[in-house]
Amino acid sequence: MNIKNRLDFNAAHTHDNDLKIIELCQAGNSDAFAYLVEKYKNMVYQLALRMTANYHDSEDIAQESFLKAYRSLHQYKPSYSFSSWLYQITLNTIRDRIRKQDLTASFSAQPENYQEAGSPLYPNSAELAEDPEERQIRKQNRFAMQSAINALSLSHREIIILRHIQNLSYYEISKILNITLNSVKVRLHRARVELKDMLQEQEQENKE
Amino acid sequence: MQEKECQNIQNYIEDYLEARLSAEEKIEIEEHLVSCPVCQKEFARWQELFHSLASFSLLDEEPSPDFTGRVMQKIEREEQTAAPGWLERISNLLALPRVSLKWGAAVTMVLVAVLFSYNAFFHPVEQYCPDGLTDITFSMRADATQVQSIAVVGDFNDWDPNRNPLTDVNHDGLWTTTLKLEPGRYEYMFIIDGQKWVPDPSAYQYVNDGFGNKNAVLEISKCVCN
Repeated sequence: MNIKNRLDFNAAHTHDNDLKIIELCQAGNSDAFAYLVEKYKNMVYQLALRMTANYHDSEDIAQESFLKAYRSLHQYKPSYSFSSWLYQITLNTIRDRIRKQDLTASFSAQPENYQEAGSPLYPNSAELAEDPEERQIRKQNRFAMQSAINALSLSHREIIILRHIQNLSYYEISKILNITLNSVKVRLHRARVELKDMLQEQEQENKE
Repeated sequence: MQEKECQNIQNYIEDYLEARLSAEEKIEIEEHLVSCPVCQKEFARWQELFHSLASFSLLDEEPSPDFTGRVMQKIEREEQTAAPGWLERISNLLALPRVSLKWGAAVTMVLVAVLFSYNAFFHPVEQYCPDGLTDITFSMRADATQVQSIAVVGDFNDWDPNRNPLTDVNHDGLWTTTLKLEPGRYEYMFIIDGQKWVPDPSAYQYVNDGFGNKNAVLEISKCVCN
């Protein structure tokens, strides 16, 4: 608890605080790492969940990513924010998984699973209170969106999720993906066009 | 003329929706949209995409409640069992049984001794060159049917996994790469398939990396020039 008192979790100082925690970890205080896990677990988990659309895999990927981060903490360079670095590690973990086993297949093979409680596409509690008809539409839209995102190529999926789901800036994305700002813009445009066309097609199919 | 203007406007729709335009540019687009049904339609499609993405991002899932505890438990377990854990993993990866690995001897060995009693069992293999750099060959035995890639990372390449891959050119299970290094002390590791970190099974010595794992250590005391 000592550590917690010494740290000010003010957003403006978040990078400095992360550095202090990392220094503590490097000095052999492995408990300090728990604060980083606590702080970034939702970010890592949600990235995995949007990329894979699978609860179980996402929990696994998130754990593995934190372990990898811990093991390679000595390679962390303070010129990166800890979150950008952690994003890189998480994306690598996801890429490995997707390469090894087709996670996409496990999602699209069960198009109905969004209706179950516990599915990533199941409405949250606020939405459950809504008008049932509206809820149904929302659910369909969400399913359509997740299906379309899942059908994107890996690099397009990544950039859409970083920008629109994780709400990162172009600059942060360029750091994480190690590409220029202009490449971020170009890739994002291509990914959006692909996504837009796919959603439009789906809509037309539904009408017919 | 009209078409060209439309194309120009449509190129800026995304920037408009992301609020990346100046006030003047915004006005220019809005004025065009009022008078152009084609662009209006295109604009509406883009707007719908941005709205759908925004509402999709509002999901606020969290991992299981004991997530942090479980991660920390794994870290603790790994730290406690680090040494045997690594040994087991290496021996699983090695195509040959590790009969020739004399750990105690390897740890206590100092480089000067190695220099004069060079022994083919010990890697990395060094050759001393007149340019002040020493050729160091890193090698590892691994079954190519189980391993796709091996890279060496260490103090000499900023621990960058992309810089120095090992290759198994003649498919005999011996992966190698040769680097030119200045005299000095370097900690290094092998990365297998981009994710498994293993210390060089035939390193001269090992040190705790402070995180429960062991890094291999390479010492090049001074360049021996002919």
